[in-house]
Amino acid sequence: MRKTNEKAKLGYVLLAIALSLLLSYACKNAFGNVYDLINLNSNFSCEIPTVILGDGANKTSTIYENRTSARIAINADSSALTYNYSLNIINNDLSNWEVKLDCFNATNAVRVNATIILHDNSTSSVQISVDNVSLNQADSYYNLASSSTIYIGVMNLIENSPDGTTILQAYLRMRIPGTTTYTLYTITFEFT
Amino acid sequence: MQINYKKSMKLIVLLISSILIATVSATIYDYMNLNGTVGVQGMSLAWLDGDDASSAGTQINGVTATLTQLKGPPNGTRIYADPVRLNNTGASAGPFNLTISSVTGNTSYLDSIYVRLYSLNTSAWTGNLTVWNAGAQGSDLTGLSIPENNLWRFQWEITWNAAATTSNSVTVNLKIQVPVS
Repeated sequence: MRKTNEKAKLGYVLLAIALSLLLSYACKNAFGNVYDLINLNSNFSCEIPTVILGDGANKTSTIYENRTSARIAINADSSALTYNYSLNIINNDLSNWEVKLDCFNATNAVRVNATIILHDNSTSSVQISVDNVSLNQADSYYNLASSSTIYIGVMNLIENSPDGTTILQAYLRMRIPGTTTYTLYTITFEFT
Repeated sequence: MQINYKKSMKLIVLLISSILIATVSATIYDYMNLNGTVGVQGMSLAWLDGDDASSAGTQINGVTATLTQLKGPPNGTRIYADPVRLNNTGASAGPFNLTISSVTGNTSYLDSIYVRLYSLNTSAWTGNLTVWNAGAQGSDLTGLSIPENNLWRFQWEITWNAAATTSNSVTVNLKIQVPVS
């Protein structure tokens, strides 16, 4: 008799578990995970760059594929060197642009003194300066007129230490004036 | 009372089968709800044009915003800082998830696509969605909440690799999931 009661209890327990499982699944699916949806669709395409990079008259730069990135390599010395035409920035667009240099990574920066400028032969803008203490950025845009060329110059480059290599990685940040649509090209300065 | 174990086991098997059927049926029912228009009218979140709507080709049609003219140079990065905004017109914070529905097209020419969220009320960065990076689709951004009467801008950053040409394009579909209370 006692054995029969235990079996009956066990049967009720199994039944209760099964019913609980069924109830929990039913409730979850009835009340959970209901969302309204808002859509954000976009279509990207690749375009021919209207602003391109070119090797300057000083022949210090390497231009990479598509002319949208470059490396400027200069051998620094204990006496000051200036390369006014390290890199050309060529605007083939009919619109005016504004450009500036943003240094986003620096290695052994204070190993040299240097001033990096943008200029068009008549006006100029200091963009990055480095000395044996710190690296500074101007954070100011310089005008790149339609169908024109401006230049990156490296001024007063002096080696403070003969050891190692100084590498400054910068974005050439470009925008149509008055907009917040930007284009970034990577330019690497390497001072050995 | 005598318990027939064979009958009990049959009943349990029947119940488990019904659970599985109920699960599958209810899942389909969920999607029917998601694709419907029920509840959308009451939503407090809405799209608005941003400052870069013109260059990005932003088109807003009800609950769908489409950016039709996003472009970028090969081996360079294009940033659209403010092509579209999300506006919470409600009287309370609006929780939502930002999910990646699909990334299709010439993805082998893509370096990355990021969507960064910023509050226009506080200028604070509020989230970062990696749509595509290192040859793979990123993960959804969950647990976001836009305060009442706030505007967030959706900044898009696109980087094509050096092999990309003008014949390459990619389509991205994102969804904002707003839980229905």
